[in-house]
Amino acid sequence: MVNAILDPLIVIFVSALILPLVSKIGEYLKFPKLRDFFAFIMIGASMLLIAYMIPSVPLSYHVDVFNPPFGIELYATTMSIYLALLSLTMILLVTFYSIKYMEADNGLDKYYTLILTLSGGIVGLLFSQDFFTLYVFWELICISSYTLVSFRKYRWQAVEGGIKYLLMSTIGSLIALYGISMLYGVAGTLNFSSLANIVVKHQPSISIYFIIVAIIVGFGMSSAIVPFHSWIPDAYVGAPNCIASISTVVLKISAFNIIRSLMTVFNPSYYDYGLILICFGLLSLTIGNFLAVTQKDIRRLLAFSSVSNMGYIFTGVGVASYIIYTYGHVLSYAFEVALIGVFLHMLNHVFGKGLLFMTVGNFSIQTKNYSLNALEGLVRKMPLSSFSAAVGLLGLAGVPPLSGFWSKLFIIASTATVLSDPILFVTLAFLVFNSVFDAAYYVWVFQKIVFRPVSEKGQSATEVSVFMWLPVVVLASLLIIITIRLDLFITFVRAALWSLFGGV
Amino acid sequence: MYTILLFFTFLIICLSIYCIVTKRNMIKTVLGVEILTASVNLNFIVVGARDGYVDALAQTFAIISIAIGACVAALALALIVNVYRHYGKVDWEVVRRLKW
Repeated sequence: MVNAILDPLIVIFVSALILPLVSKIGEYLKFPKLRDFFAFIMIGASMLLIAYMIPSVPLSYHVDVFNPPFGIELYATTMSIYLALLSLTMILLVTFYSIKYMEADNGLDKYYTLILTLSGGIVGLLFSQDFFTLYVFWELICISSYTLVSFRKYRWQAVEGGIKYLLMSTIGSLIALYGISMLYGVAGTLNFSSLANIVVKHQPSISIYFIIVAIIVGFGMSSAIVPFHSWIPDAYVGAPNCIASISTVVLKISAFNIIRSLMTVFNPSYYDYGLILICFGLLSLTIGNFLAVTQKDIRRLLAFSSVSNMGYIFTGVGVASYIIYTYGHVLSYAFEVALIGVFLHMLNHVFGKGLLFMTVGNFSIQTKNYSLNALEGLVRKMPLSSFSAAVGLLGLAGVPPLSGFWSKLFIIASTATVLSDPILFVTLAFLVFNSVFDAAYYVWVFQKIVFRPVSEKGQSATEVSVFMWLPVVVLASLLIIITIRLDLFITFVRAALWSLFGGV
Repeated sequence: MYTILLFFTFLIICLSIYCIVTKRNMIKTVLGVEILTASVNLNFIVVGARDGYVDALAQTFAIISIAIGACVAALALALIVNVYRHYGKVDWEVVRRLKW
């Protein structure tokens, strides 16, 4: 126990270091699954340590010799704890799922080490308070993620998806780093709180907007917004399905990089970047949906629907910053509603899409097939996986009682506050059109699973083992719990929002 | 002087992006990514050495970034070896089997 904020990081990184040793001990004891349970327990332990931090936020840590504006700083806020718990819940369930799903692969000691470094990178990135730490942990996430996507390197799909992902995401990170270096040239520091005070004193100029665009485009490449989305279906087809579930977390972390860099450093009341984000968001929404309906492979359909869901998130952030720039604090409630919608949508999409990728893994193990037609009627053969998939599909479709409906409603409602504004009106029209559109294809997949007669590929399917249906059922029940106690989550997210603007 | 140096780093960045976009050979693309890393690091050192003093943070960042760039390049080359094993060629033209 060194320091409350360092403990979860130390637990994750030390267990990543000693995992190969644990793996050897497990082989010596004739119990090779020891490493799987070790990784599972260690991620769970760091989750508990993070949850234990909630009453004592904000926590801060820096090396004694270098004080914050010059040295590096770790800083835990309610928002970072919210996102860290969200990401680690997903990774914990994926680790549990991998115990059975990845059983036949070799090199599993490297697999679990990479999962641990990935989760350590996510926690470190969320706790970082300056661009230096953020970039280092971001690259740690990226490198682990590229390796995990191309983990089954004996399949050509994995290698092809991995190399495309690596190239796009690396170029994106470097463009973002170029923007960060220009920001350093303008302000002379990289600490978020000092930057916020310094940048506000500058007049909005072309150089500041250059930095903003570099950060949006750079991190946008890794969060698969539309002009840069071409890697995502290939990477999801190449990756093992459990890694595709983790990739949804990486997409959200990348989007959070943009949201935090923009909202904390460039105050949205002074800088007009709402329209850029709205354009990127609406493009991703529409093109992602149109590409998703034409797919025959369920994984590619889910990948393109991830693109359209990132569109919701970017549109929500864009609407929030556009409203606060154009109308000032008169409409600050619309600003708040849009951002609450964005962070709730992150929660719904991580759990919903992660759940769907895991169930696709369950189905494909039984039917040996990824085409949409092979899913027909599986509810009669695999009831637990199919009912969970149904909850995930209806949740993402936004069918009213489920939580996906409320997060979309919040984003749509925030655009409806000023109907006389042409930009907000067009955004509203696009959002309503797209929410109906994606509901249509989710429900279409849902009826294939539930109402159709069993296809011939699914004749021999049976329910998978407990290691594979339990995490899926846990995620489905989490989605239902979120729906029932939505008020609790809204209160938490609302409290967490102020940490983006220098509060607790 | 400061503006000239900034202009030159921008020029190298454009050059590397041109290399990444136009070259068909994967090894050349990785070289382009390496040039991009180097030019961004150079830009960091340029903005850190203004007004007659040198900021240590920029230099530290450049060194860490070089290490990260080496990791990414190593991973990219490892993947290219695997591409060669599957496709028999290291050309972006052949890595296009995944469609629809």
